[in-house]
Amino acid sequence: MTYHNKNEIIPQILSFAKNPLNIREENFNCHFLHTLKICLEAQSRENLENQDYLFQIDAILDYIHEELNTGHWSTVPLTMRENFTVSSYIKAVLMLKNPNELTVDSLEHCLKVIDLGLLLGAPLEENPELLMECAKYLQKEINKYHRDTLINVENKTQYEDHLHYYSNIDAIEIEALIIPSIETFNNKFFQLQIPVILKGCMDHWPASKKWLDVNYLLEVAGNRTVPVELGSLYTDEQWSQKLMTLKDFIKNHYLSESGNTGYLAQHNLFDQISELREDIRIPEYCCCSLNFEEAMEPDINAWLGPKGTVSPLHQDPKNNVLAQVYGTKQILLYSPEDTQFLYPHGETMLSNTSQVDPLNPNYIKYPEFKKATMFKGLLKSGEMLFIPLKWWHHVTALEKSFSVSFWWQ
Amino acid sequence: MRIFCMGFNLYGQLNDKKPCLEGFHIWYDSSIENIYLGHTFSVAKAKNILKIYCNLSENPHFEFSVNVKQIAINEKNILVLLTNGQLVKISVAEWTTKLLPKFTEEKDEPKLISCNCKLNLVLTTKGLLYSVPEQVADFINSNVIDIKTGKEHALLLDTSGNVYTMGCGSKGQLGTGQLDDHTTPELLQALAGIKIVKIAAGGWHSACVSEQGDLYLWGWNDKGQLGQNDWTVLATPKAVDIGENTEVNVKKVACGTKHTMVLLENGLLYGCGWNKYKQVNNTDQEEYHYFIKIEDFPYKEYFVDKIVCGPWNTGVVGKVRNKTK
Repeated sequence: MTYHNKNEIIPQILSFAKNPLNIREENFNCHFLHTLKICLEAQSRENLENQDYLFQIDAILDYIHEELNTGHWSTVPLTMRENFTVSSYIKAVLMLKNPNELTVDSLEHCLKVIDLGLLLGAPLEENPELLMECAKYLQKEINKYHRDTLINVENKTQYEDHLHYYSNIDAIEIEALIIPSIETFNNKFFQLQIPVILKGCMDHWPASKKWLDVNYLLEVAGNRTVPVELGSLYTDEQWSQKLMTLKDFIKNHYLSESGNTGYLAQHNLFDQISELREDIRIPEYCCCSLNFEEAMEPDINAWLGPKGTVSPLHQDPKNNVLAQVYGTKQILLYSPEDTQFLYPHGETMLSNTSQVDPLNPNYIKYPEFKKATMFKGLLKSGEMLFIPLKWWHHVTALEKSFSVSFWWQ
Repeated sequence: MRIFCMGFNLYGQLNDKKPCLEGFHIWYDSSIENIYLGHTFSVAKAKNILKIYCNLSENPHFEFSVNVKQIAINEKNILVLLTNGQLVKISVAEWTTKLLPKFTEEKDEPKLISCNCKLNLVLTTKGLLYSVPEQVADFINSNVIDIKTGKEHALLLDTSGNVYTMGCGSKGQLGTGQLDDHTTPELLQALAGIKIVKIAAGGWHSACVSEQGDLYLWGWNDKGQLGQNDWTVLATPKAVDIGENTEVNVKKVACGTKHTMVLLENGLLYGCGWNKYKQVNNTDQEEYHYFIKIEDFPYKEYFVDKIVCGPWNTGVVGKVRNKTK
């Protein structure tokens, strides 16, 4: 399908670069740097006859992509990620300026390039909103041409089938309170590091209503690229992560009953898609702090998946409020004091994960596990769960589910 | 020597003008003894001379007073080992040379070198290993005959056919069955008892050929560089079949950052992995998850001496077949 707005879209995209773009020269191979400078200059030109620039910027992106994969993510120089952002933008501009006819397909491709830049790059000091604005604009333009409307699924309650099974789990029920005051939460749970389910605290979230309609998510973000975990358990050898559009994820994994489990898990969707950030609120409980210092802004992650996703028993080094926008999740918890009974994996990367399946423990292999005390809870739509730091948790989605987690220190 | 080159050539490192060589291009230079392909340049070695191929520079060349024994390259430097045991570092940004101060013990000198962006490895005649200039603790093996480095890991091979791995293991490239890092080379238990004769390291994957001609691959498989479809990360070596005929022996192997090229005993060339820059085969297919026969190598006229992979390109060093035979 031909896209007719070519004369408008290019000035629009260019206008998002509010300040001149800077290339970071540190740590960069000198020859690739030379090429990147040529491409930066080229994207600002009126007429581009030469198609070679696309090949060149692609090579730059591939080179940076390799550098981003070298060493642990935390040790990758920020300048590399900033250059990835600049290069993604340059590539998008070069694609739009391509003298060939512009199609809606090429806009979708362009949006993928921008999203990869958002996922792997770092925001630029001089143009912090650059890729966010490009992506938002491109999504709107694509929507003008074809909007996929899916038959909406009713989020009918299904977890009741599971209640009998749940009631037979031998564990202590996690305490639940209706809108406790910050003081109560802080004194009775946070300071003592005791888990609690918080009811009625998110009724005011626009997400509670809006997100029930997948068409809303598709309109806001259908063509946006997100990371999806494939395979039921991240500890499995066959487990992998794949990038795909939210539309493909919703069609092929979220709505489909194919058994091909896909989970949009632990992804900072809200830094990527600002419209969705406006639909949620940071719980006030996240202001509590253990050491009298001001609490940091929490890390916010999205967890969207079909019925049946499982997060194996693991612990995180931060306090967590898990907010259930819709769907029901079964939660199993163990105190960090029981770590000695939980058999964490020996390997560094999995040392925060237990080898035991708490629902089907192998007592011959893991005899000490009997000594661990299990807590259980059903986290339903509109409820939040406070998981104190280092508490072990095992989470199973009993229905289609959308959760938002807030991690803070 | 004739080098059949294909793949990424934006910087003219394959001695041609097109930014991407689709299908083999022949590079003929009788004086070249060996060729090293990099991301943005290549180095041709002839006795005591190194010639640089990079279209952003005026093809600098370096002449040394003694012959060059070995070179190793990364994004920023060329490390040159001379036959007198001296090490010279050439900076890629300025093309200037610098003699490295001696870091080995009194009566010891460098024997083998290999480097990449994270590791600069030097093995000495005594069998000590240095990650220049520091010595790598708890390792001594004077029988090491080859070292290959990936982006952030290394493989070492000794005369008995043992393989040792070290460095970063986050993508399974150490073959230990785990994803942990190792600062010291450790014997690859999974291949113990199998005599290995050839090793190669890709960006984040590893390859070995046994005396029997079996090919073992492990590490990252995001583009099919392990020649199989079942894993994204494979942390244990796995024997891989080439093509349909499982009986054919593998003779040589080389790896780019995300592709793998092998030469079979029958003279045929196969490849798998990332093909965005036509580094594996002259088609528009971007990834080959299984080994594919590379049809356009002129098997009949040439036999392959060795395969040299750059990060995103491939060079096959060929010699004219003796027609009287």
